[in-house]
Amino acid sequence: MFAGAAREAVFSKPEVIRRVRQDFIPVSLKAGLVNRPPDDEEGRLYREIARSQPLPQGICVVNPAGKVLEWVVSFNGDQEVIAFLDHSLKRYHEYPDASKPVAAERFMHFPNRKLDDVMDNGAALPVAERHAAGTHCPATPPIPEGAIEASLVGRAFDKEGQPRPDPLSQEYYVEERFIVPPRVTGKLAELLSGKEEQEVAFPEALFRPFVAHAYLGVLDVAPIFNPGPIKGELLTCEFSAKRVAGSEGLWRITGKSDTSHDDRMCNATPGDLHRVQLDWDGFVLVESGQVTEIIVSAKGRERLKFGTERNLAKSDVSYLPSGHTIDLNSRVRYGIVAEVKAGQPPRSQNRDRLPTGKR
Amino acid sequence: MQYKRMMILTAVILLGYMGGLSRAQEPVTPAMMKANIEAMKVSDVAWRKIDWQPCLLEGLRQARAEGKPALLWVFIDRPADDARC
Repeated sequence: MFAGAAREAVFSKPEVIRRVRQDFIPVSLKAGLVNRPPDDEEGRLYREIARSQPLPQGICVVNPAGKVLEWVVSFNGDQEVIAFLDHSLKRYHEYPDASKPVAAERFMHFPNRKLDDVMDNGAALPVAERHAAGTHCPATPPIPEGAIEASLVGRAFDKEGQPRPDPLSQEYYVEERFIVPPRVTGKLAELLSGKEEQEVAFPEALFRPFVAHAYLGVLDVAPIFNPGPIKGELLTCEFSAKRVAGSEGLWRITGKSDTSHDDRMCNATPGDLHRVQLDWDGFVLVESGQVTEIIVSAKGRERLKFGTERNLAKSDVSYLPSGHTIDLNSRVRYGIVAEVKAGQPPRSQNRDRLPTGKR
Repeated sequence: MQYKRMMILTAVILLGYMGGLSRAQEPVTPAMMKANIEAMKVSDVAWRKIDWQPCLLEGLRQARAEGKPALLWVFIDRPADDARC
């Protein structure tokens, strides 16, 4: 939740954007890497950053030597975000490198709720210029062989059928990337390649990755892959494919899905719920026994209540770890495009060889 | 009575035909569907205006080169470039 709330309430404010771009080098880090770093020199840097963190997530300012100057989790109000940036910049000018020890300052709320400082351990860490040749940055691992990267966009619509205008709130507008794993692309290819049948019904689990990502809101409200200990329910996941007449390897996909979670979602409060009911339509292209493209669109309804009983009297920036209240009951639409990247086997030109007006 | 039944039947067929027309307006090729999906995207969202560097080493290298501190946004997510958070 922290990241979604921080993106919406902190890093989308014009003055914060201007100041971050002007005065800082912005770096987004996976908490998993900071909290479970690799066992190498870069891992030592992550460990040094993690040594002073007040919570597994937060905003941190370091000097170019990797020494932590500040940690902050939330802010007393909007103005305090700018005050924090000013304060961090001032400390950077005092401690621009590892030539003298610097204590890491830590704030649960800036500036009022300050935790004890964490003292410098005196170690100057080697900071490599770049990753060694032939190695990947641990933050951007390569896509597994046989997998396809998918991009999703989802929107809520008002009663007049117009898209809800606020793209900052993920309950109205969401973009996401995810990996369609090799077991899914492989099974799809197996079911559709060289088949004489004109229609194929898919096993329930096959389209689960697509259905599981089609929801509005932050990660904490995921109906299936919820980050909390209790997962939601996949009530319906029925998909089938019909061969497109006059094409080679192009299949039309239709389906229905229904997913549901309750107030056991991560960071939820009593009475919270999430239900997504969608009708799906799309295409799968299979070439030389491999799935090279999947394009699907879904329409339906979504009900999401989140943080129902949370006391939200203050500014959004004052409760970043738990985020804001959501009450959505809306028509929704999703689109997902998954395709092989450059360097993978080339696609043929047959995907648009459809007789006009035929489905 | 038979005339009334025929009228109802005609209306049902017409409605079905119009429903078919309505469905026919849906994208009929992958390219059309892809274009419709692309059109759903908002190009100018505020959260894209900060160019977040995902690599710590590269961030620190830039910090050294430009004489600036690095602002680290540490958060839990799934894939490295996941846009939902």
